[in-house]
Amino acid sequence: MTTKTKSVKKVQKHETIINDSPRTFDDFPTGCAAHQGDVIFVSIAAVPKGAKPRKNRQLADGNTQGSRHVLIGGELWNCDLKDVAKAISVACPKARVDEKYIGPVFRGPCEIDHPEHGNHIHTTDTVIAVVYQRNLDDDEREQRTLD
Amino acid sequence: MNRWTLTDEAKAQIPEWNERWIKTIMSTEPIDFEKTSFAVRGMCRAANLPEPRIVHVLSPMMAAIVGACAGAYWNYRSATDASTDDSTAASTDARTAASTDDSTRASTAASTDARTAASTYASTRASTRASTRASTYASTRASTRASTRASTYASTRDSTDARTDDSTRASTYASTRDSTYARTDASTDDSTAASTDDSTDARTDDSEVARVMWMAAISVVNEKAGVDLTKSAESLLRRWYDFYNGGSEWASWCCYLSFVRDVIGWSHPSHENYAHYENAAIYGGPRYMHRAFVLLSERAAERHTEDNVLHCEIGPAISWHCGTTGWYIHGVRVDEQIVMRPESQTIEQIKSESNEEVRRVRIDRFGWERFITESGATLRHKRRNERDQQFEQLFVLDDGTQRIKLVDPSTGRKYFLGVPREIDTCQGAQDFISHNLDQYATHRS
Repeated sequence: MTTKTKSVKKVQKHETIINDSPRTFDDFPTGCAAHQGDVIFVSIAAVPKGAKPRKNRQLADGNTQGSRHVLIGGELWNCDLKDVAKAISVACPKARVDEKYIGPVFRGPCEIDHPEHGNHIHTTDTVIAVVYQRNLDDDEREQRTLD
Repeated sequence: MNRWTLTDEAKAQIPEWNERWIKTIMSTEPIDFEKTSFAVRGMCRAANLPEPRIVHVLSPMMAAIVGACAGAYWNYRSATDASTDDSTAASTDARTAASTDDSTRASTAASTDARTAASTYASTRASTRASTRASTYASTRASTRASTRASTYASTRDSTDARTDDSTRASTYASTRDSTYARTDASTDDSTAASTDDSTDARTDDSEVARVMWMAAISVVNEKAGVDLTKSAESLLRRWYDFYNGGSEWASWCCYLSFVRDVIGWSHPSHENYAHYENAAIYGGPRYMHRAFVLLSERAAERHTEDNVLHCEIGPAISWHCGTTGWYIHGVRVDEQIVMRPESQTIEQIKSESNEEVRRVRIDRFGWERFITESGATLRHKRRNERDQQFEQLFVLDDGTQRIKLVDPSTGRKYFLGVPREIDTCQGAQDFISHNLDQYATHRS
């Protein structure tokens, strides 16, 4: 018990804010991923067929503290979730993303703005799918992680 | 059977319709006693019930307490008078069998009813006054269950029965009532029921205000009856919900029914009766409906919400004019300690909490880090994540569930995310959280 307490205190010393500045991605090839808070951006080969332009540029709905993960510039679509899931698994063979955790698809160049996490800036026309993190609630049921 | 579909024009009006009714449901304005009384009398007429006496009370809690005491008195007087009537009728029958007719019994019964009603009214008023006075000192008027059901049934059933086409009903129901209900229920009816139930269960339990109201009301009734009616009143108090109607707090039903009538344009003769029920929801708050009297409660005095769910971190989320309150965090009913003094909770209090929702709120308010440190959670794995430049720790809690402690490199916030029990490394936890995409990630901010 004593050891655990000490361990927690020790960890606290190392917890620092080290990465809240914008990050520019000059190269974000297919199969590459990046975290921004509770959202994961994953590069896929192409925009799935049947994609429909999306007006709402907030990439992750449901947050309570104003506009977060907002796409500035670029093109944005709502796609068939099955197609996106398939594109992700092709780009990242080890990944298995349930459709309920998949968001819109966008193409750069663009910037993803967030008031707390560092902005992501994509200088190329790479196609990126939005994936939401998950965790287990107190009843050990899967749920989308919200930060 | 007619098959109706909801037109785009009607669908477009749903949000505005919802908002209109949510405003009614969430209202903390004083009730319009005259208009609500008129509506209640209309419901009783529609159900062929005698006109009730109507009394104004400050809260559902007061209604439950006064209603139980007055109801016990009414039951006592009815039983006493009926017994007198039976013996009188029997002796009269024996002596004047041929000349006595039903009119004698009718007049006897009528006078008995009138006497009982009048005396009940008097005792209801007296106990209401007493409990009102009592609650004011401490901090600061029907039908039985059957008649409640009958009047509501008479007012609403024809509007919702099979003649309303299945498809119309389904689509309208899903679009209006469900959304209104879901968005408001936790803030209104459930909370009212929960707070009233809690306080009436043990007749007062944690509420000093309720205890004082009970003592005042039952003493008035006992004195007037000349016998101890406490047990009878307690029994009725436990059944308070049988006599209860939420009024404005149940207006999600009216949102649905009025949409069919006013927007879709379906009309039916029953709407005339239904209008009384709707008006009682628009102009009045919760009510307690007994055969002999109706108690009209004021609406909540204050209601603090977040996304239409009761929530307040600096005081009670809901309070009533009698002084009773309810404490809520994100719609979960908790107690004063959890809201105002969460750090004073003990690990034992948290561990012994049987309600999982409350337990989660307890830990959130207590602090996950402190809980893990003090609860005896076991560290299963730890590592330094070189990409994120943060330490990660995987803990097994005392109930066997697992949490990984992560620190967001942008905000410095700590997160304790639940992961499956079979995971035994921090990377495994990261893989679960990211659907295995973490292995492909080059950056986190």
